[in-house]
Order: sequence, then C-alpha cells, then structure tokens
Amino acid sequence: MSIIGLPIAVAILVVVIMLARKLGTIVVTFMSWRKSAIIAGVYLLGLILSVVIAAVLPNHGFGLMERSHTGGGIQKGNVWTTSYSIRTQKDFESQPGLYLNSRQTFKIDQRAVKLGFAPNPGHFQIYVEQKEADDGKIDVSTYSTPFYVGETDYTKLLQPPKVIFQDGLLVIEPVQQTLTLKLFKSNFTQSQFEGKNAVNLQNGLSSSFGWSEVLLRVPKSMKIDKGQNYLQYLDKD
Amino acid sequence: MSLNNNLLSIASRQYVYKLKANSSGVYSLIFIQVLALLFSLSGIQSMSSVSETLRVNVKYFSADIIISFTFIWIFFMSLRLTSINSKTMDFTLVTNRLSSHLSNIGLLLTTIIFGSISSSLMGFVLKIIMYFAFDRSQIGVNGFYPVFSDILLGIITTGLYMTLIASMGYLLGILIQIHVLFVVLYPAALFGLEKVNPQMLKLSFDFFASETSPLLFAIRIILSSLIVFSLSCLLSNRMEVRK
Amino acid sequence: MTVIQGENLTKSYGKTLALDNLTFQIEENKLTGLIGRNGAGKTTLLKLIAGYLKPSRGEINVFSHNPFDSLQVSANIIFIDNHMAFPTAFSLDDILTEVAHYYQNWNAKLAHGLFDYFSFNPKQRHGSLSKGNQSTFNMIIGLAARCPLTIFDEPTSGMDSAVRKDFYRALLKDYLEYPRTIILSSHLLSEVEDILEDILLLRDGTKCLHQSVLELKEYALGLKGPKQTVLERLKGQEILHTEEFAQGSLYAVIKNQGLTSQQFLKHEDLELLPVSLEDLCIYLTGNAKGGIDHVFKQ
Repeated sequence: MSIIGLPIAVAILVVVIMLARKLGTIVVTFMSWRKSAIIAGVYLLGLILSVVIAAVLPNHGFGLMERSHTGGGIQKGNVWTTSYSIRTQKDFESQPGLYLNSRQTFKIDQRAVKLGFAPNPGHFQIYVEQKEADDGKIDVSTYSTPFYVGETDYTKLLQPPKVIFQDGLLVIEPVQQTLTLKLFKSNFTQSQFEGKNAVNLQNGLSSSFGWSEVLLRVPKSMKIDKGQNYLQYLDKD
Repeated sequence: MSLNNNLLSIASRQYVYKLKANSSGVYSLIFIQVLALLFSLSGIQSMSSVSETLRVNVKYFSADIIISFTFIWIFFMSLRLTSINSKTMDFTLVTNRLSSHLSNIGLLLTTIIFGSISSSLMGFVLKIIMYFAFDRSQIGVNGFYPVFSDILLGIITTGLYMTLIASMGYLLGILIQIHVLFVVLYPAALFGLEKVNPQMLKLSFDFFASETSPLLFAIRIILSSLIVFSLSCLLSNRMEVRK
Repeated sequence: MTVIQGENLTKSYGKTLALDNLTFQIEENKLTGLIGRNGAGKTTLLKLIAGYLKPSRGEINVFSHNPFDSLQVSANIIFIDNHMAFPTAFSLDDILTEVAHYYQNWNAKLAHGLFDYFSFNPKQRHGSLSKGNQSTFNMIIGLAARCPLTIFDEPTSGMDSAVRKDFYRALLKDYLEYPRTIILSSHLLSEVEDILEDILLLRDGTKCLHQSVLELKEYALGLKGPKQTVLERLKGQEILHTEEFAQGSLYAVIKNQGLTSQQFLKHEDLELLPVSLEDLCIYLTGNAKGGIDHVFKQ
C-alpha cells in the first residue's frame, strides 16, 4: 500500500469495521459468550493448523525454486563493464555475471567455409572465437546476464534465444517470453528488522533485466559474413 | 464492611467479566481478517516491466493487509472501551477509575495477543490457498515454508504495534469523553502538525518503524504505550460518571 | 454507626443548583426513604453517595470514606436504577452468575428464587427487556447483592402495581432477614410508607425534614369546616396548606405542635381529618402559591 492510498484505505476500512461491529452486535444476541469463546478458540486452532499444513505441504510443483544467490554465483554487479574485458572463452566461463542457458553444436559440411546470419529482429551481442582446428563444428552458446526481482535471482527462468542453422545461415531468434511471478514477501512487522521497511519499500521492487549474449566458436578457417550484426572477436589463446 | 477488596482483585474480576462481555469482538475480527485475506489474494504489490522479448509481472504476497486491518480493528476496540456505555457497565458494578482502566488494559492486551497471533498466522492460510488455487509453477517457494523464529518475531512485533495503536485509541476515547470536539481536533491536530512541520510525523513514524533492533523497538513501544495509557488514566481520573 | 454523612453538600450543574447546602446523616441498618418532587435533587444526592459525582462544595462521607473514586466504598454499595447497563453478550442467566463474583454477600438462592418467581426467560438479554421488567431484574440484583449500603433510585418505574407490591414485600422481608442500610428514592410515598423507617424529604436541593415515619405521621393535623371558623380557630398556628371547597368550606393542614384533638373537637363545625404522609409531603414541598388551584383562580 502506498502512502497516498493509505488515508482512503483507512476511511473505507473504518466503514467496514463499523459494519463488522454491527454484525457482531447482531450475532451476539443469539450467541452466548461461551460460544464466542469457543469460536475464538477454534479460529486460533485453525490458524495454527494452517501453519502445520503449510509446513508439511510437498514442495514439488513450485516453479521458482531458485534461492537468492548471496555471494558466489551470478551477481547483480556491473556486468556491462566487465563484459568488455572478455577476451577468451575461458573468460566467458569465469565471468560471474553470465549464466549459460543453452549450448548447441552444428555440424557443417567440410567444404562450406562461409557463415552468414539471417536477418533477425533481436539485437544480440555476438562474440566469435576461432578454434584451433577445422573440426567442422560450430558451437553456439547462449548466455544471459542476471535477471533479478528484488533480491532474488531468476536468471534461470529466462529462455535462451532460438538458434537454428540451415543452408549456411545462422538464425538467432529471440523468444518472446512472459513471466508471471508470485512471490512471498515477509510481513512488514518482520521485515522491519531486516532493515527494509517503509524507507526503501520501492527498492525491493527494482529488477534488472536479463540480456542474452551469444558466443560462437567456429572452425579456424571459416569465413563469416556478419551482415547487420556487430561481432566481437575474442583473442585466441 | 469488608476490607478484602484490593485493587488487583477487583480489577482481575472486572477483567474476566469484560473478557466474557467482549467475546463477541471475535466475530468482527474474523470478519475483517477474512475480508483482508480475500483482498490479499490479489497481491499486496504488483509490478510489471516490459522489454523487447520479456514481459515480467511480479506480484508480492504477504499478510500485510491482514495485519493493517487488524491494527485498525484494535484501534476501534480500544476506542469502544472508553465509551459512555462501557463506563456505565463498569460503574453498574464494583469499580473505581483505576481498576476500570487496569481491566480495560488487561482486556486490550488479551485482545492484542489474539489479534497478533491470528493476523500473523492468517498469512499461512493465504499461502495454502495459493498453493492449491494458483498455478504453482509461478509461485516462488522462497518464504513459503514457516520458519518458527520468524513467525514468533512477527507475532511479537505485530503485538507491540497493536499495543501502541490501542493506547492511542484509548487516549482518543478518553479525550472524546472530556469533550466531543476532540473527534475533530485529534485528526486536525495531526493534519496541522503535518502542515507546519512535515518532518515531525515522519520522524515519529520512523521512530518506531525504522528501528531495526527488536529490543530497542520493544522498549520504545512499551515505554510510549505506558506513557499514553497513564496519560489516559490521569485525564479521566477526575471525571464524573453516569451523569 | 453513621453510614452516610453529608456536610453542606452542594452540587451544581453549570448555573443550576441541584443540591444546596445539604447536611444530613443516615444511620446504619435503616431503611430510609428519599422523598421529593421531580428535580428536588434525589438522584443527584444518591449519585454523590455512590461516588459517581463530585460535590461542588461540601463534603460527603460514606463508611467514613470519600465515595468519589473509592474502590472500598464501591465494593460496599450497590446502586439500582433503570440506567444500569449489562453487556449484550450476557443473557439474564449469565448476568446473575457474573455479578455474583463482585459481591461477597451475594445470595444466589434469593436471586434465582425471585428470578423464577417473576418468570424471566434465562436466555433473554437485558437490553431486550421491557422497562418494567428491567426494573424488576435490577431490583433482583439489588436485593440479592446484600450490600451494606443498597440504593434504589426510583426502582419501581415501569413496574405494574402487582409487581410493585411484590417488590416492596420482598424488600421488607429481605431487609428483616438481613438488615442493612437501604435508601429508597421514590415519589410514590403512599406505596412505600409502610416499609420505611425514616424519611428524608428534599425540597429544591435542601433538606425539608428528616424524621422517622412514626414521627411524621404525627406531624400534622387536618381540619375542615366553614372558612371563617377554621381561620379563626387556627390563628397563631403554623398553617402548612389550605384548600377551599365549595360553600365556603375550608380545609387546612397545620403543624401539630403538642395540640390534642380534643382542643379542636369542642367546636362542632370543625371536622378533624387525618393527613396522609403523601399529602403531607406534597404540602411541605409545595410552593407557597397555593397549589394548582391558584392557576385556575385567575
């Protein structure tokens, strides 16, 4: 609830509570205090039971099993600046801001030495590394930069772009994705002591978008027609 | 003439009497908590953002609405305890002003315990409903399972907030008894304060809401409530009843 | 022992003076009737005794304590009027059970006996009772509580005459069985004079008289006869009330100051009439203008 909406909400609530009190006085004329006390007890027991039930419910089926990464793993850090320092595939692997979400290998005809790109709607940062040998294979790895909602990392939920190789053309298509996340927030009476109450309520909502990056590993002698894409060649080791 | 009527024994008799008399309060509490639960099912905060390839809708769920409703409920409960009608009920039987206040505070504390436990636990009913009624693949497991220490902390904090709110409601009730005009004056004073010095309200709000140490928070709330309750007692000490 | 002592008791509501310099005392274990016209200050006095109100001036002591905000006094008093309030959550049955915890002399047998006698429905709520039944129920509580000081403020309002008679009978019986200080305020003196021991008569917030019923019955004499004769005969006497009838006859009430009826009966025209307590109180508290007749004379 925002601070502006609060007075309105309170006003509505006052009316609701008046009604509830009216209800109470009506109910009370045919309920003895003993029955009321029993109902209060049953209500409380029911609530305690709900905690027990919630505790024993199996956890399969949850889509978002990801726990927030604190330290290690993918960090929210400044991926953008570090990605410029990527020089080799090893850098890619060790780059903490990137998450590998697909890896495909396409066999190519030994004689075909040219690689072109299909015009595509998505603009991807494409990195190219030339392999030591002509092994007739193109390795395509797609990575994602971190995707956070609040403090929790949901990068794994992102779908990799679709990569197809046909007729000497590499097609990289972005996948339209809609994510609906239903997340639990601790009650404000609890989160207060985690230091994120009221003062920085809005901060908790910020999210960083995940962007896809594509790494191609191509045979040594392969020629590449980059088309509209900007390619960044990685240094050979 | 009997002499074994000390303050505490009378106050505790009044407390039991009032507990029974006000047991119907549980209906209005259940009513508003269930109502708040229904509101909570649509999430307490939502956010969506869109990029070329990605549309993200995030909804947050918690018992915040349930707890807030319960806060307002306790405010009106404490306000009601100071009404002429309940004063008359007290003074129909054995009482003095102090024993009446003590039993009222006792009743409020009991109500607060009930309210803080129920409002904090109601969040799990929300979670169970979501577990079965919603597409579980969209639900974040994070925070689903109860953690005992968190629940306990939540209940205590909720109870402390409710104590402060109850003391404010009680004071307002007493002020209204002194003069009806306080119905208007009380919010007007707050509004005026806001106009004159906007920082004041925020500071006093932050005084409680931004305290991150549970111990300090508890001390602040307990002291403030004590002050407000004693003020109520003092103000009503010379008031005549059943005029 | 003096249970209630009032010294120069004054209570004003704004500019209206409800009690004016009232000094009185009520002894232990007496059944006192507090009598007065509407607005004489009966209820104000009773509320001062119960500690609900604070005197504007003067002092009141109940069981040698200031009753205002005194738990000690409150525990020994029960104040019965038709403004008593009980929680709506309680049925009549519940109320009898709950109230019992407050009064150590509570007589549950008496309470339930009366409750059944007046055929109350145990499940009914106090608020839904008719006015008369509320008064009856409150009276049951007042009797069963057996408080050292029991105050009934207009206890019979709304009761029908059968219930009123039952109430007075029950009051007297319980009082005899368990003597205590009882104050009964009423404006229907004729109904209560048989059970009262003392009468405290208030007029405009002041004490008009405070005497035992027996003394009060001897207080005045009524004479009826031709106007001239009566006036002549009563020269020098304190006339409390006169009333003219047709054919020049006059009825006069005088204060009985050691006069014997013989002195009057010598005169054959004169007729000696008893003065009922109720009439006496009306004459004593009436305004000097000659009563309602005065209005019609003009």
